[in-house]
Amino acid sequence: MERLDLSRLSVRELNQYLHHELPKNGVEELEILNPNGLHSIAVGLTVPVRIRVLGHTGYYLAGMNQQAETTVHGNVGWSVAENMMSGIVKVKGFASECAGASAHGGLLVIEGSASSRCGISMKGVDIVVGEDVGHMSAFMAQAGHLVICGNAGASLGDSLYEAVLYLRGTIHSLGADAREEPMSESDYGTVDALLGKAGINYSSKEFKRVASARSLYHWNADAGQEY
Amino acid sequence: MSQGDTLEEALQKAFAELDGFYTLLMATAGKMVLVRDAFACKPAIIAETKDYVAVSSEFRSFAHLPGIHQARLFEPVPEEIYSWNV
Amino acid sequence: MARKRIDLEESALYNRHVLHYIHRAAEQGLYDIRGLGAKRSVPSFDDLVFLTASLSRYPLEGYREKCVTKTVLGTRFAKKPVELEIPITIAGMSFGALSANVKEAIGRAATAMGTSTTTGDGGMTQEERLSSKTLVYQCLPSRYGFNPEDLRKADAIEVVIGQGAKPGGGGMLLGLKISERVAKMRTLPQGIDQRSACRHPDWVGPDDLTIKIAELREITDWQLPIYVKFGATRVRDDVKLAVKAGADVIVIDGMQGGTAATQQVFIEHAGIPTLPALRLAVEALDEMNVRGHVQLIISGGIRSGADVAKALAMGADAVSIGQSALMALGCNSETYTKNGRQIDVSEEYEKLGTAPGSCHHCQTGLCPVGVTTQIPELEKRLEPEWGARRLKNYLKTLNMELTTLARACGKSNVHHLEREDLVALTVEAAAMAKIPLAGTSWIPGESDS
Repeated sequence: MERLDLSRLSVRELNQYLHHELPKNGVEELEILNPNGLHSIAVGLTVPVRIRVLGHTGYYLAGMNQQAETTVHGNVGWSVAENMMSGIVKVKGFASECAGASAHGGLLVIEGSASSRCGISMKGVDIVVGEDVGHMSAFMAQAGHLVICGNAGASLGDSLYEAVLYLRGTIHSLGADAREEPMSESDYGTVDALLGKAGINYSSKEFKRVASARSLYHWNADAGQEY
Repeated sequence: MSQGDTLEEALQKAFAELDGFYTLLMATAGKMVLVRDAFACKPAIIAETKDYVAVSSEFRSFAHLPGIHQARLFEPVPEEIYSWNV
Repeated sequence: MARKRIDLEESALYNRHVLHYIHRAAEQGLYDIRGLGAKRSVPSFDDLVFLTASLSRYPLEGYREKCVTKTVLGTRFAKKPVELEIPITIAGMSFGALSANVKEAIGRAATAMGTSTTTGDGGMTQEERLSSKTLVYQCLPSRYGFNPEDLRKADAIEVVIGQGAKPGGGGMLLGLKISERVAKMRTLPQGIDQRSACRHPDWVGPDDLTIKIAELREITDWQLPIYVKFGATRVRDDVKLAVKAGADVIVIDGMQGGTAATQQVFIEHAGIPTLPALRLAVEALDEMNVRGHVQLIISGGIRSGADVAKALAMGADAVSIGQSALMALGCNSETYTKNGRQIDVSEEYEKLGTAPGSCHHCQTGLCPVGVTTQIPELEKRLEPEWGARRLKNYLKTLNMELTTLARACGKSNVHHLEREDLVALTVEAAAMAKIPLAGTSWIPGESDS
C-alpha cells in the first residue's frame, strides 16, 4: 500500500505527487498519514485513485476533485470537496462549514454532522449527511440533491434554486423561498439510491422534500419579495 | 461587568449592541465562556478531554496536544453560550 | 397682450433626474437597476496635470527615442508571471453581460496589442480562451461555471472580493439575458432574474483567504499569479490584508467602475473614487514594503492615455479598462457598422427611454449596438473582426498618449513616471491624491515640511 506521510512530506510535495506522478504510475490505492489538520490535502485530483486519509484534515480537503474516491477517517475542516466535479468524498467524522460548497458533480458523504452552510451554492453534486446540518444549509443551492438524515438548523434552503433537499428530522426554520413539498415515487427512488451509494441505512419513507417555491425568480414589486 | 453584571448578563447585553461576525471567548478566575454570533461565519472548534478544554479557530492548532485523538471534538452552535467552570 | 414670462427654476436637490427617480419608484416599487458606472462628478484624474519638461527637465524625442511600455505582473510567487506589452489590460466582464461576439473581439484586440483580458461572472467561454493570448480567470462569489479544467487553462487567477460599482454587493443578470447558453454555463433555469451571492461560498475572512489562495496555488502547482480584486472602500486595510494573505497582484476598482446591472444606490453611493483609492493602495504597499514585488492594477473610469499616465505616475503598475473598451466597440454610439455601412439606431435608444450619449441600459439586454445583449439579431450587429480593429485602435491610441506624456516628462520607461511629475488643480484632488496644488507646495492635511 502506497503511504504518504504528512509528518515527513509537505502538502506541496503530496499534491505534486498526486498531480504529476500518480497519473503516470498507475497506483490505484494509497493512504495519507498524519494529516493533523493541514489544509488543501488531495486537491485538484484528476484520476480515479482510491485514497484513505487517516486523521483529521483542515480546509478544502479534496477541493476541485475529479474522479478520485477519497475517504477521511476523521473530521474535516471548512469546504470539503468544494467545487468537486466528479468522484466520491466520504467523511467518517464531522464536517465543518460549507461542506460541498459550489460542487458540480460527484457524491459527498458525511457520516457525522455537517456544520453551517452545508451544500452552499451547490451546482449538481449529491450530498448525503448521516446526522445534522447547521444553519443556512443549501443556501442558494442551484442543482443537485442534499439528503439530511438528522435535523436541519435555521434558514434551510434560503434562496433555493433547483436543488432538492430531503430531510428525515426536524427543520429549525426554512429560508426565504424554500418550502416543504410532498414526496413523489421518483423522490423516494432518488433518496433510496443516494442512501444506498452512501452506505447509510434508513428508509426513504421517513424523508420529507424541501424545494424552491420559485417566487424569487422574477423581480416583482407587488409580490412583497425580500430583497 | 465592572458595574456588577454577571458574565451571562454582560453577554446578553452584548448581543443587543454588537452587529456583525464574532466569536467571543471570555474568562474570569473560575470560569470560561464562549459564544458565537448568529451568522457564525468565523470558524471555531472545541476539544474537550477530562484534563482540558481547548478552543481554537481550527483543528490544526490542537493537532499536537496530548490526548487529542481521544478528545471530544465539536463546533459550537451559533448564539449558544458554552461555559466551563474550574 | 404680453405673453406670460416663463421662469423655470430647477432645484439642485430635486432636479429632473431626481424627479424621474421618485416618479419611477412610486410607479414600480423596486429599486432602479442599471449599467455603467457612477455618473456624478467626483474628483478624478482630470484634476491632475503633468509637469512636463522645460529647462529644468529634459524631454525625450517623441517619435524616435524609445519609451518602454513592457509590464510584468505576478512576480512574487508565481512560476509564470504575466508579461504584457502595454500596461493597459481589459477588466473582467462576463459572458452573459456581454455577447460572445464581443468577448471574441476583445480577445483579438488584446492579443494584437500584447495584453490580457479577464473572464467575468459566468465563466470562461471557448471563444475567449481561443482569441485571447493572455487570459485572467476570475474566481467570484457566485462561482458560476468555475471548474478546474478552465482553471488550468488560465494564465492568471483573479479572486474577486468586489468591484467598484458595488462593493459589498453580488452580481445580477436579468431574465432576458439568461439565454439558453448563459443558463447552461451558470447552472440556472433559463430566463430567471439571476441573483449572485456577495460573499464567497467557501471562505469568509482574510485568514480564510490566505488558505484559499494557497488552495488555488496547490491546484495549479504554483504556476500562475493570483490577483485579488476589490471595490474601493477601506482600501488601506484591504490591500494590507490581501498582501498578507499571499496575493501576487492587487486590483483596485474605484467607484467610477462599471457594471452591466446593479442597483443605482450602489453605483452612486458606495465606494470611493479611483483617485484616492489609488493613493491609499500605493501607501499600503509601501507600508508593507512590497512595492515592486506585489503589483497594483487600478481601474474605474480610465478613459485616455492621460489617465493611464497619471495612474502610473501615482504608483500603479497597470490599469484595467472596462466601460471604455465597450465604448470603443460602439456603446453609446448613434450607429452600428455592417459591411462598412453605418446604420443609425437612435430610435432604438429612444425605445429604451434614452438617447445615444446618455444610455446606461445594459441591464435590459436590448443594446442597440449589439454589445451588452444575448439576442442573436442584436448580437450580429457587432462583427468580431470590426470590433477587434476598433478596440485595438483605441488601445494603440491610449498607449501612444501614454508614451507621449512619459517622454515629455523625460522618462524612457512609462513605469518611471512618478508623483513628482504631477500637480493638482483642485484642493479636493490635492488632498485625495496627496499631490501638491499647482503653483504651491501645499497638500491639504499634511503639515509643512
